[in-house]
Formats: sequence, structure tokens, C-alpha cells
Amino acid sequence: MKCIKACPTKAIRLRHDKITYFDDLCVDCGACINVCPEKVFVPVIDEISDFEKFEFKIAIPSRILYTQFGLNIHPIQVHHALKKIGFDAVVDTSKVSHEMSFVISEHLKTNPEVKPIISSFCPSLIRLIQVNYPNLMELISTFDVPREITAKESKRKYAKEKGISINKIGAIFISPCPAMVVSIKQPAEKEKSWIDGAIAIKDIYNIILPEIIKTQGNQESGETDEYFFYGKGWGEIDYVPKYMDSERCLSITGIDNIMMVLNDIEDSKLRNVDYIEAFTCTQGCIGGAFCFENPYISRHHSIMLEKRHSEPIAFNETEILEKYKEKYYFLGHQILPRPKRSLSSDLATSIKRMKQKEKIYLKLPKKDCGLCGAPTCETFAQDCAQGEADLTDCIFFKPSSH
Amino acid sequence: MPENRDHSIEFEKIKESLQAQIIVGNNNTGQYVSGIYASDLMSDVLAYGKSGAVLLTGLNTIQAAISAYMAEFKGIIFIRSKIPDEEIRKFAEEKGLVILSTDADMYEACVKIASIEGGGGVTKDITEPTKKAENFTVYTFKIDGQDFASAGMVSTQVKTILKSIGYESHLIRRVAISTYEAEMNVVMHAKRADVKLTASDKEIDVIIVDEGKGIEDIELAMKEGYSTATEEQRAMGFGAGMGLPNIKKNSDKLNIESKVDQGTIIETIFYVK
Repeated sequence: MKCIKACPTKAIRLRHDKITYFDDLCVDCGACINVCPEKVFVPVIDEISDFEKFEFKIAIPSRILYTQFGLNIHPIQVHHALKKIGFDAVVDTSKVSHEMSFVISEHLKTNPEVKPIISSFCPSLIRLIQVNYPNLMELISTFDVPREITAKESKRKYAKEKGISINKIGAIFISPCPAMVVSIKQPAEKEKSWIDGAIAIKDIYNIILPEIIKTQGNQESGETDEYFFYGKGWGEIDYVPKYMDSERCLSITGIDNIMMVLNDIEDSKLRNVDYIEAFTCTQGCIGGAFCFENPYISRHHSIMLEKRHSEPIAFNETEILEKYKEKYYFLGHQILPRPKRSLSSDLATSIKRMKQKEKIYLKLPKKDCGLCGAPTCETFAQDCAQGEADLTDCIFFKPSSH
Repeated sequence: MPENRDHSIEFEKIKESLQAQIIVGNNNTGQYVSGIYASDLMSDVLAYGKSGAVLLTGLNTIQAAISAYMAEFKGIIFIRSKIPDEEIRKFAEEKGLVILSTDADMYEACVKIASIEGGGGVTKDITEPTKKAENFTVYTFKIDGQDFASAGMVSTQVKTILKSIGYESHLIRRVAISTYEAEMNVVMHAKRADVKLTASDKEIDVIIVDEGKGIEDIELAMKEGYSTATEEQRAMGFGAGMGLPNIKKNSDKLNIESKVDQGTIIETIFYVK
């Protein structure tokens, strides 16, 4: 039952030989999916056939997709393979990422009142703050993310170019993690996502690999793609401190490290930081549960591919700033906190249960063995105080059974 | 009605007055108990039972035994001739709990115990309703002066406790910031301090009693930017002179008492709205 221990928000329990979880504690990080040998957790995900209803299909790959195939596969081969399997267009998010880092740098220069701004790129991070740090909601960036803006932009563009209604164009994201899929299907950030569906990198890997192999050694004949830019992308760690025009940016990966920093922010301990990019997966999105390749190898690929193929992306600063003023890059509305289960909705009852919890905890073995079905003795004590678990579930209180 | 009695009674006397039978712990009835807690509701036993007491109950299950053990009780008296099963007996033996069984029912047993002579048998204790004051919980912590590496640990613990109780998040933030500032003051200026957090459904109190150089002029210390921090402390990013002003800003009530070369007591109160 690795998942019970792996869950960073301690949401999973084993009850009567069945895995259950507290929905309100789940932050969609995918840690349980990563460790489960039985594939018990089935993330909500689409299949390519689900998109037949669209007249025109645009694939928007997470930049992590390019790092999954090795050093000798040019990112453009990945684009061609996606077209071969039925996408009408493939749009990389680099261009928008680039524009947005410029815009955010400019935004920081206006010295916004609330600081540090926390990037809204990682949906799992947003959920973590919604659930555990409702105080810090106001720090979450009001900017939308490159994948969404890319979808909005390319759908509008193709609708005009091909003369089809925007509703008949489908934007499909190729996702490194379950959290981004949830952010598309049930966005916390907005009412409706610009993206119409999502496929896991793992799922598409097997489908496009044969196509990629076919084009190998035949690169000269590969046509170029006007919407392809291999620039520097979001979702990779240290992007912000490296490429953003501010010296007060911080980059964090791993959910435990993030919680450490968020605690410091809550205590007003973290000063002199204007912007934070944070990814709940270790090593950033390349550590996502839907990735095929080991994150350290992908990171190596990513660095090498960038060295070999990335090109400077030119954009019109005045035009971008104009769009910024028109709120083109912003989310429509404020993200709200998500209520989490507490001991009770009534404070007096909560305090009573808190006392129970502590008394129980003191007598528990504090070995965190997990045999009761809760991840730690502390969570077990809390479950007992809430009446969700039974004291007799603790193996140390079963004199007759051993 | 569950009730604690804070009078020490000899176990043997209770046994006699109830004409109870010893099920477990034959040699242990000579000890004194701090009181009787009569209840069938084990969640109340855990929340309000005081250690060293005896549980008087009709709940003949392993839950009762485990709860009595968790609440650090010395034993259990089962009413209405209930005899615990093997599992409970084994558990009690292992954990050193005395188990008695009496023919009396709950009311009768309470009356009999209340009238034990020399046991502080004031009968009105039994009928007095449970005090409202039980709706609070107390935590204590220690802070070491000059320990910059652990600075902030106490405010983090305070925050974690308040979050699990489920106070409103802005209130928690105010308590956390205020406590953090007070904690930093101790780390910078004092030798050590005791912190007491009292959380109730009406208010949250944080009292920090330190042993140290004290504050010479409290009024001056309350001014923003006033600081007696050393150059080193400032270099570490502390001592901006915002400590006390920040505590005042975030708390609903602030009392400061200080004696030079002895120490300072800071009491902050935050009202629950």
C-alpha cells in the first residue's frame, strides 16, 4: 500500500481492504499513480478516438513530450508523427511562453502590491494552496498559463484561416501529469478551459513512436512547420530565474519543499522575493506521473535538445504590451479557496475532538506502520477522533489476535 | 452526565461500597485514584477524562478498555453485573488496568461512591453540570534564546494546531505572524521562554513568558523601526524594529509586562468572530 504513504496530503486510507480517499484533500499530484503496482488509480483521460467529433484537431504538446524520445529525435519529428496519426495541426507552446515571461517581467516592474506572486502553471500547486493555504490564495498569479493562451490563439487563428466555426476546432493537450488534465476538465482557474481534451504522454508514446522511427534518417525531406519554434519552455525547472528579467525569482520543485516555502510565506518569513515558480513534481513537469522517461534522463535530453535546436524567438514588444493592457494574458476571475475537511464544522466540537486526538496519539506506538490503513499514527488518531476509524484497527491494541 | 471528581479515593473503598467483584488486578486495589468518570460515551472519556481516574461504565467492549487506557485511567468499573470477555481482560492485564464489576446501576453506583467517607465524598460534585470551560485546549512550548536555527518552530506548531482545529484562515494568519514576531524577540533578546497557547471557541490566547534583559521603555519599543538588535542580527535580516508593532497590529488585545534584567511577559488575545 505504497500509495497511502506516498500521498503528500495524507488523503488515502485502506478501509475494509479497500483503498478510499478524501476527495477534499486530494491535490491531483499523481504521486499515488506513480507508485501503484496494481494500477488501481485510473486518472480521467481521453483517447484519440474521443476527438473524432472535431472537424479540425490541434495537438498542443507539453514541451516534456520532446524530451521522451532521445537526443537524436528532433522535436519537429515529433510534430510530424502527431500529424501522421490524425492531428491537423501541432502547435508548440514556446512562443506564448516567451511572450508571457516578457509580460510577467514587465508586470513585476509595475511593483504589484501583493508579493510574492506564485506561478499558476502547476495545477497541483494551485490545489495545494486552495486546500492547505487558503491564506495565500491572493498570491496566485492572475496570469493564465501558456498552454491555455496557445489553445485560445491557435483556435482563433485556424478558425479564420480555414473558415470553420471555432466550436468545430478541437485543441488537445498532451499532458505530463493528471493535474493538468483535471485543470482542463474541471478547471479551478476559470469556468471553461480553451482546451477540449487531454491525452497522457504515456498513452501517445506508443502510438507515435513507430511514426517517429519511420522518419528517422529521412530528416531532409521533413517539411518545416510554420508554427514550430523550439524555444525555451515553461514546465522546466529554473526557467523563471534563468530567463526572466527579475533578480527576485525563486524556483522550487517537490511538494514537501513547496510546503516548506509556503509555511515561511505564511509566517511572513520570506521577504525579498517577487515571483515563485513551483512544481509539485520533483524535477518539475518531467517528473509528472504521465511521463514515460525517467526524469533525470529527460532533463538531460531537455538541456541537450535546447543547446542543439533552440532558436531565439522574435516578437513585437509593443504589440505584446498592448495585449497585456487589454488583459489578454489574464485569467477571467479570482481563484477561490477549496474548503477542506476539519475536525468539525463547529469550533467547540473541533476542540473536543482535538483533545481526543491528542490523547489517542500519545498512546499510539508512533511507529507509523500503516497497518491500520492510515499513513501515520497522527492521521489515525485524527480519524478515530472524527469517528472515521476504530481504535481497535490499531494492531497494538489487539491483545487476543497475536 | 459525565463528571470528574478531583478527590483522591482508595480503590479498595470504592470496591467495598459497591460490593464489587475484582475481575482483573487483584493486587492493585490498594492504590488511590484521582476521581471517578461515569460515562458510556467514549469520546467524552477521551476528551474530558483526567488521568488517574476510574471509568464507571456500562459499555462492555474493548473500546471502553482502550479508551480508559488512552485517557490514562487506573481502571474500569462495569455496572449492572457486566463481566468483560477474554479480550478485554487480557488487554487490562497487559496495560495494568484494574477491572471491577458491580451489580449496581449507574445512578446507584454514583450515589454510593459519592457517599464514601473520607473520600472527599461531597455529593454535589456528582450533580453539578459539566463546566463550559471544557471547551478549550492548552499547549505549551519552549523557546531557546539565540537559537536562530530553530527560530519559527513554535509559531509553525501553533499554526498547525490552529489549522487542524479549523479556525478561520485569516485569524490563524494573524496568530501565526504575531507569535512569530514574539518568538523572534525571544530568540534575539532573551535567554529562554515558555509559551502557552490556549485555544477555545471564543478566543485564542498566546502568552510568552521570557527570562531575559526585559524592555526598558515599552512605549519606545512599540514604535515602528525602533530596535535594539545587534549589527549581526540585522545582517541576518532580523531586528527591523517591526516586532512589537506587528504583534499589536495583528492581535485584538496585547498586554506587556516587563522588568529590566528579569524578563518580559507578552500576552496576546485574538477573538473568534
